[in-house]
Amino acid sequence: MHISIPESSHSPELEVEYATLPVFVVHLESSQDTDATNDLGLMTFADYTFSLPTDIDVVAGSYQVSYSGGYMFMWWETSGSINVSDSKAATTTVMVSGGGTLRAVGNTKRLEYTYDHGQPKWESDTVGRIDAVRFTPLFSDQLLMARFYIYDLYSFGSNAFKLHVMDENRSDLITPFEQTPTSEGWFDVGLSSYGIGVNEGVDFYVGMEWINDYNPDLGEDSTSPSDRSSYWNGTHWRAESYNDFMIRAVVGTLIDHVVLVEGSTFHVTAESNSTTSNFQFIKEGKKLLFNVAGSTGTYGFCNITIPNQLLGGPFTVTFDEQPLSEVLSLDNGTHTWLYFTYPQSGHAIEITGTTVIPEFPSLLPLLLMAMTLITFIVRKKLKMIKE
Amino acid sequence: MIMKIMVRTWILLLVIGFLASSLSFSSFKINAAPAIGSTTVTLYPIADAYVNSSSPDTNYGNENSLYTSHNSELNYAYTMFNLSSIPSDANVISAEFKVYLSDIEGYTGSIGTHCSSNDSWTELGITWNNKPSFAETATDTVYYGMWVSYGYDSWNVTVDVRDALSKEKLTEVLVDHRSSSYAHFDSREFPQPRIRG
Repeated sequence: MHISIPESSHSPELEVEYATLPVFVVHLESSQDTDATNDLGLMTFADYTFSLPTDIDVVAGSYQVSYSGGYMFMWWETSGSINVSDSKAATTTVMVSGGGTLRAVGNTKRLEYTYDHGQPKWESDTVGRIDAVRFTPLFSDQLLMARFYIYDLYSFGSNAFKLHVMDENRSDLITPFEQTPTSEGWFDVGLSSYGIGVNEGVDFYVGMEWINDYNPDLGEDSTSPSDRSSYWNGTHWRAESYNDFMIRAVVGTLIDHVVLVEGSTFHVTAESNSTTSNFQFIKEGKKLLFNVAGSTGTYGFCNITIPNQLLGGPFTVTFDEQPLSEVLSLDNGTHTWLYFTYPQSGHAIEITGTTVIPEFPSLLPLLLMAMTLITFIVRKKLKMIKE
Repeated sequence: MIMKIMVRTWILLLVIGFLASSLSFSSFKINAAPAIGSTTVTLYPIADAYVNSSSPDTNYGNENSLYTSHNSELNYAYTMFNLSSIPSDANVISAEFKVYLSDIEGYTGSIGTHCSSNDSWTELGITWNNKPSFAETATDTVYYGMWVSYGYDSWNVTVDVRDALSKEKLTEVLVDHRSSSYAHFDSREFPQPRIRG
């Protein structure tokens, strides 16, 4: 709250910050569930976003707190006179009645590398310019997603840009491709289908190339720059020392299930914070079955991509034989992407499709070969008769 | 040869001194997040005036500027705030006294703010001869180096506000600690933002 009673311009002022209740020091931090690493990600406490770890002054009371970036959130831990209303929710209410520590605990099955502080200003440039951020993986895994903070979109002209994923020498790892954000805020681009592996301690870069002058605006953050941002000015890469470009990378484990059916090979990929097991494809029942397991009391998620040729939608998903009502589904014509969450610990997931790979595909090539052969023989015989 | 080295050493020392002087002023502070859940209030003076040792019986309460000087004459700038809008049991986390610098001359050095426990003075009554006394030690100082930007400068007066909260009034006195110097600050009477070319 800020109270200001304007008088004359340039008048002397006395700006006083006070509290009528006691003020306590709250330590904010995060840690990996195995304690192998700590203090990744950002914590937002009553609309103020902090990089971790940090100590903040808080007046006794209740505030909204959320954890983002960094680890895949699992639960909150508190000590001292700090309590949270829901220890399993990444966004919850924290009650402060004294000093203490608030810790977000997460795993690295899905790790969002965040070097900005979530305080965007605008940044835009001309065609050919590339803004990039250097990422240093803490673990070897797969690049699942690139995130771009779109500060502003323009109603005139295109907002498309070209996405670059580059190695430690800023050479493209994949052919840069166009993406068009449709709303402001974080714009996520899935990269799991490219199979880009990242190695512990080996830098990689994610970049945004302008293909339209000044459209769109990328967010940049001047809070404690990390020296990880750079830009291509058309001839050279230059370090950006005063800002962090708001580009993030999500790295995690993608489980690739190979399904061999009717002589064809299909890949069903899954991303989950649970341990998945006993994966089965039951053609007759048009079903995919697998088990998920995780810490009791936490929420699990599963992001699964199914080739439509193997199993087509619409889909129903059951959890211990009970239908899950909230399943996000996206069909790009060749694959269907399903996303759902569930309470853990161990449970059975069943995904039932509507169409399934037919039996004849493996006979089709034989049939074609036989028909070609018959045609050839018949034509030869006819030729002989004519002669 | 020795003479040459001595001359070079002196030049080097002068350059270092020059850089140190400019660096000390150009240092910046990062604004920390306020205490979460706290209240911030901006108060404006209920009285301000300067006093002049050369005209000990003249009142300068209606002037558009507050003068401080330390040369052939001394000028002190008095400012009084009413703290009654802040609850008497409040925990004061921080307090910044901000004054708009509009002109400055003199050697590099500091201008300090000193707290006065006497709040009986009035804007149109205060003169050099009846001015209230103030603390010998400055609560806070601002250093003015070789390059100075006009605009608001601020002094940390948290301790003074905590002490003055019970009597609901705070008097701060700006004193120029430099030599052969003066500075002009905008007073509460200054009506409009000035436009500089």
